[in-house]
Amino acid sequence: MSWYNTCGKENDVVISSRIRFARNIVDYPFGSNLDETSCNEIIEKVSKALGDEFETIDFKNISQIDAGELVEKHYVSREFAKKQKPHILLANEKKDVSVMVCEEDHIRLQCIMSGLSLDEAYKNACIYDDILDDNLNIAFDEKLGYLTHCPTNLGLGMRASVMMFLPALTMTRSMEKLSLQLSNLGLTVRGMYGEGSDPDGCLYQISNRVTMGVTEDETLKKMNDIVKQICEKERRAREVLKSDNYSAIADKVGRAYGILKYARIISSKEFMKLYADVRLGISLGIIDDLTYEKMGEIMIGVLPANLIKNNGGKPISDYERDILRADYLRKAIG
Amino acid sequence: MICSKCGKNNAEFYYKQTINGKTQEYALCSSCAEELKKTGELNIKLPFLFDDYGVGFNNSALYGINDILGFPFSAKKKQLAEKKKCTLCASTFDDLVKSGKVGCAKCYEVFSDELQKSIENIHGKSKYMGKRTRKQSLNVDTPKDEVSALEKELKLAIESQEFEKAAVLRDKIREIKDKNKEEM
Repeated sequence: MSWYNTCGKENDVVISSRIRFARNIVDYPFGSNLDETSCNEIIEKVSKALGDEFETIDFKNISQIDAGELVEKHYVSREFAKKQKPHILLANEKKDVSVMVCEEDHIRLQCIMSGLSLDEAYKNACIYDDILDDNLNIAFDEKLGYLTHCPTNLGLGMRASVMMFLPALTMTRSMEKLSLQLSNLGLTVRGMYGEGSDPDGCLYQISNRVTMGVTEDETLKKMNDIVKQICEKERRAREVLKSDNYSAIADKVGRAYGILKYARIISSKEFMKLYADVRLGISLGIIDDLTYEKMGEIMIGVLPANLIKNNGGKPISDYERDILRADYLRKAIG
Repeated sequence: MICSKCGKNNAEFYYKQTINGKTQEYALCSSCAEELKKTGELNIKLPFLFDDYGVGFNNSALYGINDILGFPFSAKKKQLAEKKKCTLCASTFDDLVKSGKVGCAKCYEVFSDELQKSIENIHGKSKYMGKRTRKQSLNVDTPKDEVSALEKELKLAIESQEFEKAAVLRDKIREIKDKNKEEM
């Protein structure tokens, strides 16, 4: 089971929580300045430090489809998958802890878990961060903290992010105002795939921006508090939508469910809209034969690389993919 | 250098910004710089614009857009900064500005003056408050010190029922003891 198809805390609103540490090794240039030999040396050092518990996925040996699948499951960034120089992903068996080696920073360690679980994810990530710290010469400065390629990560080198499902706040057009408020509180709001991505399916990623002048614990506490407040806001907005016009909402949800179950061609954009309506329907008790776990599974299953991979890996046209998506959905929830 | 706008006065300020890969450069005299600042053509609203030796930081970066370091400072000091190279990765400060990224850990030391302003603009005047690397926080000189510090940590981990962490610590203690049998 993975972060996307298990149930976690506040799962009606919070899809997942992720902690990511950016770390670098002293004596090697960062990111694009690294030559191939240095990349290989770093890969060897990090692999050795983390030991047998971690499986190695070497991007030189995997297909574009396999790399795409890892991006879609949020185990690696898009930029990382596209890199030309040597780079690997180290992942534990459950894949909740994974390490991108030779990304923009030498080490990007992440722990991703279902629901609101920032504290657990942080504890987990710290176990391996400590191991890396014990075995490698990590770039750290007394005043500046962890030294990173991009100065915006400097300090904690930590990004804590929470993926939230906010359909009612989106429908009531509250997101713009909320984003601004969160920005003033030092948090950033983005779409599902980070920087520059759209909030398709009413999915938003909320993450900390401040990495200096605060501790990790303070950051997590603040994020937990704010995320819980947003959860309450979202739930209240859902109740208002439901009580104000139950028939209209139930109709919207029912139609979306019908299309997901029976359609023969579905684009990813259409899917995300239907996904949001159906997931909202589950939380309002309008749909009772689907679970959040199932919704999580199909949210990833319908993505292009995952679809193609589960269909034998043969490249197909966009149109064929839309047919394949509908086939997959009929089997998964029909 | 002559001001690139009026073509008459000596340029006193050099400003360069890279936003989403598009680079704009200005060499300006003080009056043209002021004028452009007023008209908003120089897309910098921050008060430090013409600080003597500052590194400008575009507003949008605060929202995570991949732009980053721009540097307005006097032409003379710019020349000095251009000559300086990082001893590890050979980056110049101009390389850092162009890419918006820092070349290596050593760059933070070599260009500490030049970077200070930009770091303040991103993070404010605040200092690092997060966790220390274990080696630093333990402040250990000998393997014996390290073992006793780790044993304390192990005790805390067991008390707070963090058994996975405790197992890692236990293995680490064993490993250090094995490696340093004579000193223990």
